[in-house]
Amino acid sequence: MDFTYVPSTCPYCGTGCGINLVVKDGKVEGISPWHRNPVNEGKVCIRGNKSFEFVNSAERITTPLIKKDGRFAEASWEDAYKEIAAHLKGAKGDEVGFVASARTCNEDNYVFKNLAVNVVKTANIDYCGRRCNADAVKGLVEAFGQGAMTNSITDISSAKAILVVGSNPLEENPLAGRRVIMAQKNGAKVIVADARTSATAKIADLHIAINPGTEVAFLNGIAAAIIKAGRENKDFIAQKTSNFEKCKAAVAPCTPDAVAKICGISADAVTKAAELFTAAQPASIVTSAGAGSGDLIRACANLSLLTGNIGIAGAGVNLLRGKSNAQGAMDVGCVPQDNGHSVPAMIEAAGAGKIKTLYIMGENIASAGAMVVDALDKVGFLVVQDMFMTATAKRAHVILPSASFAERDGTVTNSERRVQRVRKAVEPVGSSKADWQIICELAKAMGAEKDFAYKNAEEIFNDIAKKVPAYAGITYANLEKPEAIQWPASGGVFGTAVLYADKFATRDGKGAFSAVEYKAGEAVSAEYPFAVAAQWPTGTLSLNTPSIVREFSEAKVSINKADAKTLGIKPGSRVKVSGKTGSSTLAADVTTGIKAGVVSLPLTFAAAAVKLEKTEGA
Amino acid sequence: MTKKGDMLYAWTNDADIQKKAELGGAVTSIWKYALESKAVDAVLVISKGKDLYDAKPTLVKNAAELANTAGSLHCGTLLLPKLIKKYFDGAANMKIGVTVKGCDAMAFYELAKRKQINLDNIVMIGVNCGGSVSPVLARKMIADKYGVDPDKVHKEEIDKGQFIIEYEGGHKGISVDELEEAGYGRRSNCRRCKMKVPRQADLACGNWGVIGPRAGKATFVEVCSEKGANLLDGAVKKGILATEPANPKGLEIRGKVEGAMMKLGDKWRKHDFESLGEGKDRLKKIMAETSRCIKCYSCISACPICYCVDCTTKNPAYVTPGEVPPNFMFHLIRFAHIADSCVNCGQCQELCPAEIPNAMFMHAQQVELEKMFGHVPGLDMELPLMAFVEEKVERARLHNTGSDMIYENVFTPLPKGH
Repeated sequence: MDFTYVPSTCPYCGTGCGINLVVKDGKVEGISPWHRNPVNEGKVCIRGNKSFEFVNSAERITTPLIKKDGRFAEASWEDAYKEIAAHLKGAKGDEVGFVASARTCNEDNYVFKNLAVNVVKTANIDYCGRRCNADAVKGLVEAFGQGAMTNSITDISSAKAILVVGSNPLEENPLAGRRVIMAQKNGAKVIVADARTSATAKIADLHIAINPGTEVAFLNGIAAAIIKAGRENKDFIAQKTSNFEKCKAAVAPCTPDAVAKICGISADAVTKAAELFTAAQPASIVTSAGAGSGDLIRACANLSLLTGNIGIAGAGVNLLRGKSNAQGAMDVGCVPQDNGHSVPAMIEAAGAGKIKTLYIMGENIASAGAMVVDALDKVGFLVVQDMFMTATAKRAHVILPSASFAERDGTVTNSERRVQRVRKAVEPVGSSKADWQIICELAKAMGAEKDFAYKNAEEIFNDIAKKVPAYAGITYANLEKPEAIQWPASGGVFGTAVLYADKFATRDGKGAFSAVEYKAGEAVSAEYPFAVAAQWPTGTLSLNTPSIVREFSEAKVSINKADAKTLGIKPGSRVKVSGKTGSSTLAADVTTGIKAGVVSLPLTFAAAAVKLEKTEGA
Repeated sequence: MTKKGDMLYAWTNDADIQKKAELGGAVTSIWKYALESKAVDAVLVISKGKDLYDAKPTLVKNAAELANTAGSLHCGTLLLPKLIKKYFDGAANMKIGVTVKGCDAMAFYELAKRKQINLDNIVMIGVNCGGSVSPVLARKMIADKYGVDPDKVHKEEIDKGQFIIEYEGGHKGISVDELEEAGYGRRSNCRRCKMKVPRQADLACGNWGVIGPRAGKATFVEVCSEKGANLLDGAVKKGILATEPANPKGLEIRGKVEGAMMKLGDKWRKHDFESLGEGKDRLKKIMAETSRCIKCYSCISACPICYCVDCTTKNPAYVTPGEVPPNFMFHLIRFAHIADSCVNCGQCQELCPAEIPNAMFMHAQQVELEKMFGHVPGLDMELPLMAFVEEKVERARLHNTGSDMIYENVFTPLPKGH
């Protein structure tokens, strides 16, 4: 009997927890704690604990599939490549789109980008993070110079005050949530702004149930209250920042009373939050942002600059990412090239018949709703590279089976810029292959083998280290230590834990305030009376994990108990949720843990306001 | 002929082992003999993973590979018996030798009582353990308190109340008390531990009490079973191992060290349990801390008492699926099912992402139950309290119904007509 532990990185969220894959006779039989990993010290959430289950799922796609007469037929790799190459070769660059993945490795995304840009000659490349964090990353670049979390997950535990906004780390990024708990145990005050009484809100010292979509008003209100009380860090502002006056003018109208009205909270809550946030240093902001989050992150950045909470451990703007490699996919360049389309623009162009070929790797974009599904159905040729038959894959013309994280080598970059190894523990199921390998072989079939002649993932990584400045100096050899390296590597043996200790990475070396105004979104109305606190629907990995399905068997709409009573909705009732652009039917979760007038649901259509109708159920 | 109860000094005659092993390499040598003589099919030991702080369970089938696994790692906080249950079919079809700390030995017995491990197929060499330090904390401790780059350290040990490191440029020791005062040092369950010499293993080995010319060059071995005696005799006969009777003065010193460690354990128990308060205050405290639970199930995965295929915490009648934090019933179920048999291995606390002092809560209850009913878990094959207290009545009742389902998982059903 062969029995080994293979250290790897959890495939789920952007916290990047270390895990040991337990391999027995060539099969991943379980997950064991990897105490030595500095991110999580052996601790995991339910996803990490059960992350071996989907690897062994019977639902894995094990062979290339080509659709003929509306049905998938098993095909050889050679035929699949031939089919794709034939389409891509004749295609005009601007009629092709490439969607990279936030859950495949850096190496995969790097060669994917090169295939798109250098071989297919299209500028239309983007990654799925566009739907959630890409705007926030842009906001961080503008404010500080680097598009990433300013601090480390570990150092959140040394904060003395923590403001959590647009995030529920205890459930979404639990091992980052642990750092909030640790800080609190050391005396930090935790402020949580969320319409839901989330697990994180439940541990808060101050929970403020702001209306969904009003985060910017709330943050501006805190900034205004700090300035009014004269508690801004004047030295820091004078020496290290620019544009303060612009920001000051922009937040001036955000008085506690004005903010209270917008956010549906008491005026007192705003001043109280401002007091707690400035009561002690370092103060940290934790956020996960979300769609259209550029303004939210700029408002967060303003608050950090205002109080001098940047460039020191325990402070900063800590953007927690939803997927294991959301940071890395962008780092290695999977973003629209000159005038290329972003993912939403590609979808729109596909819907309008302007994008005729789409190549999607490791992403189920169909989960974003009916509009995307319609657009996918209009695409003349759709290639999907994935482990599972997702709603997106079902619409493909060719499916290429990907190896799972346990079946290949590579690296992923977590929220805190830590580049960590993924290690091959077992052979890929069926004839599936590592994503980078598939792309290199396809490039070969297209006659571009010269630039894709990689023998292994490490060779690709070495190219990344040459081409991507943030990755300079990183090698597989120096990733062997469990600390790995947080880019930029120049910061020390293990890279840089805290950005901007000396100066900002902006052109003038200063942190840039910005004038961010709260823009009211779609308001609730008589027709659509409920505001939406959205969750992202995903599930490609977790819905193929029986232990998780047992906990969360289906998506639910959470509704306040009083609202439910008015509508005659009981726990488990089927409820039709409709907005201006679509509707879906979900089971009801009746709770006191959400503000009246607000519902929480995984959105399959874009809406900030919805109505609910009971369709059946006791 | 060696027999149960013998106290010996032992050291290796094997040149390869001598080069790498500590304290005379007795443990490694006995395993070598056990593998070569087919007394075991494989040995499960802890070896160095990515570095000195990374403890990794390693299955060794070839005696030649043993030398690479020699040496102790105080930053290893793993518990091996649950791995044997999960990944080795509870040693049902394979004889496995395991080097155990006190908590490992106790966990073996508790899993064996529940028919999850076949102890007939397990050989245990116990090692004295003064406690272990979580690896990431150990590195921080070495950087902060010793002023040494943890990557420059090539050896660490706990000796005479000090945590000692050897590094490029010297060695340095700081008293464990001082470290623990400052929030570093051993895990909290280790501080409360009183199973310092695991005598329920087949052999109990360590460096306490090795004095005179053999100091540092031999291992103290207490023979705890016939299996252990035979193993030792075999190794000596093969010429792999040499032994001599322990110096009586050394024996006395060993007793004193053990006694001092027990006292320290008592001190920490008092400290920890008093901090929990009593009665309603204690309940309140437990409810407040457990209210952060994110239901990762790590405590259950790692617990050596938990073995059910389907955990009661997954019964929707008690705990709503998907609800985070779960209601208090989740924790009540764990207390009710485990407290009488908790061996204070610390895994549920060590692995808790919500920083809940689970092991402290469970251990506090175990100690109370032990006071009331006198049942001590982890020592031998005595049945757990809940089974024991009601067994006769319950068995009679169930027998009359013609079904013995309740205990089917735990104990072999009585033969018909009993």
